[in-house]
Amino acid sequence: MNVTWFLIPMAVAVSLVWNASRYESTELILRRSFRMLIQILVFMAIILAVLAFLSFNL
Amino acid sequence: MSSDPRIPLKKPWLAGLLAFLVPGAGHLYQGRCFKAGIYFTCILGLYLLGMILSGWQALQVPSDEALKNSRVFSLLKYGAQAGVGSPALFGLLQRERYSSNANVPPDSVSKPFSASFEGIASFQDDTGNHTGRVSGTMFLEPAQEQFGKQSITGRFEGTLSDQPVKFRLSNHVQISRPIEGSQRRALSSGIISEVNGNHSDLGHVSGTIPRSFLNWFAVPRSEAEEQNLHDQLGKYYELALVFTWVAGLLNILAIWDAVEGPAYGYGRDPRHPAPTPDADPTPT
Repeated sequence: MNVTWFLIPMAVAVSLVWNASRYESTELILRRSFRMLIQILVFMAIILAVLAFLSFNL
Repeated sequence: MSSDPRIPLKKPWLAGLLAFLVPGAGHLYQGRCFKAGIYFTCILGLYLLGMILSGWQALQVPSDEALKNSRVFSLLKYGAQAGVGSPALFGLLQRERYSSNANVPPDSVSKPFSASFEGIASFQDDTGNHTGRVSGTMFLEPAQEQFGKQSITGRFEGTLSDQPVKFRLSNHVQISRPIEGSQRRALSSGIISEVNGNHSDLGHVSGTIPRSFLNWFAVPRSEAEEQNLHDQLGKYYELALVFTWVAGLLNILAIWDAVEGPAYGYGRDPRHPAPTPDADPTPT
């Protein structure tokens, strides 16, 4: 199994715990956690694409 | 303390202590069950995932050797993991057992026992020279040397390079300390033959026998043992370390939330409007 998949549970845990420590409302926690999870995954995907591009044909 | 009266912090110091010992326990005590569930599942789940990925060997309790070489770095690594509370604090208890004066290579064994053995043997007998990997069972028992000194002896039964083999061990079987960071315990001995009560040396065997879970789990590891883990598990070990570090650091946020309440409270959630100040009861 590619180790990249293991980053998903970590991103889920970080976004849920971070937002739980910011807000008290269940709905706010879930909504903002989902948004943060997407942001983390998109950011990681961009970094992955940049690294893949830079290492192309190496 | 939180300025929002809608958030029941009860005794914040007790909630903080509980949150440190078991992630989510502080919030459960305060009746904030949803948050307790999030903290318990995410923090302990991440920590357990790291432990499982590393074969339960991710906890990096600093040994005296590690503290001498890189004190700050060793303390930071364990400090991050210690944030998850009791699961990581167990390592301090194991560190005491590891450093205890009783944790020395045994001179003897109290009663006979057997253990699976993997290693390398090299000996010469009537049929020729034999060298190779051995796998089988060690049968160890107490022995007595001259002048009544206690020692360990035994025999081996198993295979050498896939051929059945049996040999007798000398009276000087050496076994490593009972409590160490590696899952297997080193054992070495001479191989002897006995004819009419006379012993003659035939060769040597060295390898490992299993160590019980409680005698290696969360025990400080030497640098060589740590390097061995990197070699065996590679990137999975590094990933496991990151998971346990992140889990410990996330619990600091949970402890803070249990003591002080959330940073932004209910935010602008319309279903939880901010309480209005009480009207002044005194008539004007």
